[in-house]
Amino acid sequence: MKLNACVLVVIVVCSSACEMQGDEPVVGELAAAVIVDTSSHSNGVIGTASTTGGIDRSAGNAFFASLGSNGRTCGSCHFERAGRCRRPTSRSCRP
Amino acid sequence: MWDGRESILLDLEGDLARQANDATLGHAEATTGLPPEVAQAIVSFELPLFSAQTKVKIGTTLVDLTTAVPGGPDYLASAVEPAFYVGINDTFDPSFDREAFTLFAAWEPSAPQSGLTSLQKSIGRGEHIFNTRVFNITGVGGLNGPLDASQAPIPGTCTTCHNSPEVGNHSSPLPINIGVADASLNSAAQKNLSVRHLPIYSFRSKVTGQVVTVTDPGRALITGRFRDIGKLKGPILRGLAAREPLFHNGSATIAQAVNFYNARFAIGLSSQDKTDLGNFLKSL
Repeated sequence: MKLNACVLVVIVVCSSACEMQGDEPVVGELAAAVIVDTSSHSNGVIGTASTTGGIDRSAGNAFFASLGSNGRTCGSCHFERAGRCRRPTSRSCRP
Repeated sequence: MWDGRESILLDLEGDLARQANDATLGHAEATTGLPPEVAQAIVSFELPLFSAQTKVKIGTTLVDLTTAVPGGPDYLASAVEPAFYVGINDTFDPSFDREAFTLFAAWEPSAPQSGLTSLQKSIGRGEHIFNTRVFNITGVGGLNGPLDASQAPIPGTCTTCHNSPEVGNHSSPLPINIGVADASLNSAAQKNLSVRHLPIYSFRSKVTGQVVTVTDPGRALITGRFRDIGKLKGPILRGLAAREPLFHNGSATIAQAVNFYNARFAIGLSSQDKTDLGNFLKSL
């Protein structure tokens, strides 16, 4: 399944690049993305892809570090399972 | 931010760094701002990430969105983002293509339908409706509203405002008032969204004396201008199903949002159309 998705991406990208440049495919210049996380929710499954590899969820990553005085991090409100968006009804995230 | 307060420079990395800093000072209650290298580290973490639905669940059926069609976040990262630029597919440019979404073209009514499941067909019909159903866009502040230069109705589609290819936000800055924050009696928002619990603010124009009531001042909080009351940014639609309730105030399920738009713009969607649109939006 995953292989098929990857093949599809390459075909589309290659086709587009060839049309623009009328030359050799330039697939190698485009970022390769891999799905590094999936989360189930009531409407299905959301996936997160990264062009730089896996996600460092340790406090060594500033996104997950407590940078203020109350222990909150960026990741406290920008949930992976919501596509890093902030859900307006998340109680823990109200100002 | 929905009111655009963090989108100032039209420099994505600079704006994201400021947002990280402001959130740290506000939400995380830091006493000093972030060192620039820490803000940059957060931006560098954010930029390579892309999120989208990989499977949609309708009832008890799970539909894969990455095998036969280019849904999912890897296609978004590999093909959609590299082609994006601010202002792409500008609605008011002669080259505007209303078919901003082609993810499910293989399931749209114009494609061979044999072998497709009923849900795949529904998602395809939803995409087709989103791209092509024409209705009159009227009274949208920032576009053709009563306080803007042009008050003429715009015959448009969902993609008139949701014009970024395969993503669905507006591809250039366009804070608009579609009426989500409208608190007036019998408004589409009051009738179709879960907004009865929200506070209501009344504003009177110093110039004309006009009074408006809203549940959120929107961009006027930033500009102080009467004509900006209720104006908000249009969000990216990818991953929408994972973050219900929708809109800036969390007032709608996907079904409620479809009903709101149908009422607000008198689109005339049938029950089947609404189901199809909802299934499409859940698949992004």
